[in-house]
Amino acid sequence: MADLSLDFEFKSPIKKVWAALTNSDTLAQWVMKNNFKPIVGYKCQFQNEEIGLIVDSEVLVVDEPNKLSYTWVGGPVNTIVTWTLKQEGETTYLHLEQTGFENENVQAFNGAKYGWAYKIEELKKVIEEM
Amino acid sequence: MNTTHQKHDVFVAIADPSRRKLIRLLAGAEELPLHELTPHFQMGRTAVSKHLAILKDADLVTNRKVGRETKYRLNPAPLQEVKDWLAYYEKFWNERAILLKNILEE
Repeated sequence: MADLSLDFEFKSPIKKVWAALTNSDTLAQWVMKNNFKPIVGYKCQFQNEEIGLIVDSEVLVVDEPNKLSYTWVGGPVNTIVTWTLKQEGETTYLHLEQTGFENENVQAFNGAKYGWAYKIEELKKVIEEM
Repeated sequence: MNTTHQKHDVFVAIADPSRRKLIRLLAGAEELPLHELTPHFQMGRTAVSKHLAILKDADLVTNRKVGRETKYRLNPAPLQEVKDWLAYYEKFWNERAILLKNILEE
């Protein structure tokens, strides 16, 4: 899988983590300047002026306080970001998945068996690293 | 990260199922002419040729004239850029999560 999957944990109640994921002002403090609202179908932007990154986003899932999902379309990357939250005791587990990095295309290369004499090193790199 | 026009093209190029199929076909051979690619598709040679042109713009395919026909060859190097973006976002979210931790646990 070429998709991104990360796990984080915080000594903080799930409601507080959910608020940090959905409140525009808080998001600005840890992600980027934005006009995000946790409303399904709402279209917004995340902007980082320093690096000139503008991300277009549309909210897909708002299941408070368990799951939040939105599109993340920045430059050439057309992906979906999904946050899943779970509280156990005093710890909230936060799981992030960012999908849509076109892994299907890379799998296509696994079928390549011949004709690669002069490109084989590049091909290997693509297959092994993705 | 550079954001050249060509980088954009790579993602556009691989976003289309027909073009991914072309990449698969070309990955299985050293070089193929248009008339050997076309039978794998419902569409005609003009349409296949247009898809090949988009792949060529993204530098994923090279072509050369051999007599009367044009032969196409895959160049996988630009796909490295997809991996670069994945690595970029892995670092991005890990760094952001540290900021989030500070906000939550301060």
